[in-house]
Amino acid sequence: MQCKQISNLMMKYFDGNISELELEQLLRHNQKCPPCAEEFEVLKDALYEVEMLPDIEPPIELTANIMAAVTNQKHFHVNARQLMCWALGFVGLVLFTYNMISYVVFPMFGIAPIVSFQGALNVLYMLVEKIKDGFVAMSLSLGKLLVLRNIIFREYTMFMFLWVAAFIAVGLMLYKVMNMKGKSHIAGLK
Amino acid sequence: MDASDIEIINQCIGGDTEAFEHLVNRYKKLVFNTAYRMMGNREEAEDVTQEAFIRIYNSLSRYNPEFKFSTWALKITTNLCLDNIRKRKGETVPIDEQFNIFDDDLTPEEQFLRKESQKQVLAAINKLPEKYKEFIILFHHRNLSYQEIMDITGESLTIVKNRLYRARQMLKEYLINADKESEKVCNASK
Repeated sequence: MQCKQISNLMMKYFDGNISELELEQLLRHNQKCPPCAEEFEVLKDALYEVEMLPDIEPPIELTANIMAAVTNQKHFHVNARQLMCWALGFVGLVLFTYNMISYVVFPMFGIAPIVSFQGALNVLYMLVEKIKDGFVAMSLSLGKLLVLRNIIFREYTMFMFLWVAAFIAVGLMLYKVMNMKGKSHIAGLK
Repeated sequence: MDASDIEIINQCIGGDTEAFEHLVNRYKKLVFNTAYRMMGNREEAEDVTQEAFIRIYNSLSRYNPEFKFSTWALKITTNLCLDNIRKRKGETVPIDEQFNIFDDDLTPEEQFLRKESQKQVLAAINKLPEKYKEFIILFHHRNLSYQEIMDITGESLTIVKNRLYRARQMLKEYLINADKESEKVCNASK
């Protein structure tokens, strides 16, 4: 009988569905064929070892951790009531802030409290004006910066170009060197 | 506590989060140990177990009572393990060397030999590609039937048989090579 067939019988043996006749063939072959016998012994021992690997106790806190994770997860599902609570809270906060500003903060600085809609609009208008002023000032200084940049650009273009080229060259070289290292490492492993 | 799995699952779906604890307690050992043998170390096994149970909880409504709950739980666990092993490609991962199953009637030398052979087998198993490792662990360590493995992995009977066959061949080659190498080391030291 061929060793190849014996190998199939071995697999049947480990599957647990070998017939008595086949088992006898297997054992008889192994008596005459040391390589097959060695294979069989090694595999039998190994698989016995796998079977005998002990079950270990999971950590005690595992259940608690899982339950905590599972229950915490539930809080992410926002239900309608929670949403309403949050909305109400937000509206309350806005009203409170408005009242504080108009009746406490403004009087403290000697400004008439805003009660009317018109008053609120006026404040808003003032704010917009301020923001516009700020914007104009900002664009002015930005313009100055741009002029500076143009000067620098004109004077130093060549210089900057050389720097960039040098950086790219060094980067490519490093990349190549590292790639070569990686490859030789893998080849060494094989 | 004596409720059947499906009863507990229905309770959980009905909104009783606490009932899930019974399921966790019932299956944590199975899930944790399978993950432990797949990942090779405790920390990762703990992470996988936790994530597996969270996934199980979130997809309880999709559980098909045609299958055993353990099969379904193992399906989720092994998929997670495979994902995690693929993610860590290239990194070296510590392999625990905890062996806590010794018969007290073994002499110290016998215990040492046992430990050594266990270590070798574990190292060989952890060298197997993950797709093959999974089958060895499910069939030989967890003693599952072909049918259960087919349900867990979603593969056909032929593929399950082929993978097991290939996995055993690889295991045998690793072990025989390891033997030869250790012999070489012994000879060199003489």
